Amino acid sequence: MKSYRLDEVTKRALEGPFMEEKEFDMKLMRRVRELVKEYDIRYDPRQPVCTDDSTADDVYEAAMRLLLETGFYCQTTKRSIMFEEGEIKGILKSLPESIVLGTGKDAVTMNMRRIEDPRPPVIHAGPTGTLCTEGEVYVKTLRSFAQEEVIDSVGAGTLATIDGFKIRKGTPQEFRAARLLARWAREAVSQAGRPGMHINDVAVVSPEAKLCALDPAYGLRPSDGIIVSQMIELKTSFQHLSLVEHLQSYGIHIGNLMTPILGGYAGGPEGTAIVNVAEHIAGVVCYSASYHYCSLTNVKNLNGTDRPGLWAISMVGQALSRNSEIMSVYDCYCASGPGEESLLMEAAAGGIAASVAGMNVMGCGSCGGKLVDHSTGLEARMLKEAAAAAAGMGRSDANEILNMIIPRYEDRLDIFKSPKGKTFQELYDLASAKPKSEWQGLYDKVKRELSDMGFEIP
Amino acid sequence: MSEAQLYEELANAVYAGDDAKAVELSRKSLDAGIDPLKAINEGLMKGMSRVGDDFSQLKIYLPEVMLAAEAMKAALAVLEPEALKRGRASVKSKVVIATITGDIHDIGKNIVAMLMRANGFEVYDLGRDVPIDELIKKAEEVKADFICASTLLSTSMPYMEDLIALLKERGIREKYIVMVGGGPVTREWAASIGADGYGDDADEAVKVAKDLLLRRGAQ
Repeated sequence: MKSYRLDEVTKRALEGPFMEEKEFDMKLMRRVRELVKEYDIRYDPRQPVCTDDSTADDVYEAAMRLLLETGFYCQTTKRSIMFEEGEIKGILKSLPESIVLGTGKDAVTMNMRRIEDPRPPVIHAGPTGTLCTEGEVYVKTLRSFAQEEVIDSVGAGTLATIDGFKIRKGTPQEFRAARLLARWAREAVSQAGRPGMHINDVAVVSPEAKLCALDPAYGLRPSDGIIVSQMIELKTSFQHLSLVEHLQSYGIHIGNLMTPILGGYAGGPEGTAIVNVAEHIAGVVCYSASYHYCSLTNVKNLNGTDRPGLWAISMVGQALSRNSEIMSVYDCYCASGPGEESLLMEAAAGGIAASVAGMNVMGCGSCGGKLVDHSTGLEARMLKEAAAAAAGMGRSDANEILNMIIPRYEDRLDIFKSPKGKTFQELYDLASAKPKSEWQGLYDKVKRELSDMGFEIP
Repeated sequence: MSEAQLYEELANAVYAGDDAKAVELSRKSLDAGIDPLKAINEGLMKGMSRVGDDFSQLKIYLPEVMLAAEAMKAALAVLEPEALKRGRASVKSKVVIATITGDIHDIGKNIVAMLMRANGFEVYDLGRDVPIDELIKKAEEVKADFICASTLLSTSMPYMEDLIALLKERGIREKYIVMVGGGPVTREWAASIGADGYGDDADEAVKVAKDLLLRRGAQ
């Protein structure tokens, strides 16, 4: 953040137009429906990545109008934080084209990517909110990501227990979990021989608990990141803005986490894309975020890898790439679990769609985050390798490949029937944190199948 | 228009979220001397049931559900008072629902509350981040049939266990049908903590609630 805006944001949260939250939801829902019609934005399932630049521009323009008209809702004051268009444009102009993640030899540069950009995306890897077992298993799980050569950043698993206690939000154990999650992430990157690797979050819920992770010696450093969430859709609170206040003074990267729900208040993929672009812009203005996690999930299946989901995220990526310097990171949430070919296919599809749309990537989540220890480094390797292999690919070519990959898993996306696979402990050698031959073999097989489709991963 | 056609049109108006049409048809049905309760059950409820089914299969999305619920509400405002006058209104089952302690994600809970309301339940929505004793207090106050708790966070799931434990501790567990749901909650986990019901989605939650009510009535 080049200039300090939080006083102004707070002032507007205290003085903006008052309305009950339900009224805000209805207002947003109705306005989004109108904007989709007015701009004639249409989802085409045959094109998981829209190839029309003007649609991307329309989505961006509609999103800007939405934000200007509805504002960013503060749940604490029940008021909308309103902006002038000129103010937003001024702030957007100040965004950098690249940022550095991590430190020392392990630092990576994350670029503002463009549509069909030949530069490979950066991956923020990790269990992304999937429940993990505490202690050594957690360290080894994160290490399984960190020691993958292609992975640039790790973080963000959730613990069910700490020292045997079930973690309840807002209890001392949640604060302890934040501290230990940071220490264990630091331990994992050290074990992987990459001590300066960017750690992108500790997945506890209370914003105030996240502060316990900030510790230059054993926890998160200014070269790392912390996620500040938005609430669904286009909402924040003083709790979240207060977290921003301290993170800025610490100097750490802020990740703007948005969890747009496809099928929720924003409606279908067209409306969801508009709302999510507006959420990105709000994250720049109010959170001063370095990067923005587009963690879109389907209202029923809790994944973002179906056709409407891929269309929506790649539309968000394209709208931002063509019209701003807002770095969007696609958080790839999958329906299948580790040890399943379909998970790797979902990750490949997500990587391709996001990459050609000008996004960076994050992942992978699996099984809707419902199952403990269903997260391994190998699916993140697929996400990154597919995204990197798709860098520079044309959108039409990407669609040809996607139309071959998606049928390999789209009948398995019902979250209650999707193949759940196995746990990290079952699929990995715990001493070395490397995949066992069973899981590695499936990975190689999927890679060959992708090659047979004409998609070569080097 | 025949009686059957009127019911069909009422159902269509609800499905389309056309509140003006739903109100107009409701008035028309009263003018035609149709039993308002029948218009509700054969017309409005059938439309809402189609909405629930189609939302469950993602043929439609939440905005369409919200608009349908609004149309349903507008039509009920015409039909219910008349049903009440004729002594034909049935007693509604009461539901106290909330997103439980520690969680401010409420879209799932809102959808369930909306569909329950549209399916004839009297719903007391306490909002989000609601302490378990508040849920119980409200349930006692309104003599609820159901206590429903939702969460998207694994760190709020233990509070659902606490809810059931507190009901037992106070000796009132059997008074209520307890349903739980939300992102990280599974059917197995719901059963393991002793909840009475769980739905994979909002549509199933409503069906399970109706089923549990029937079973309770049969006991």
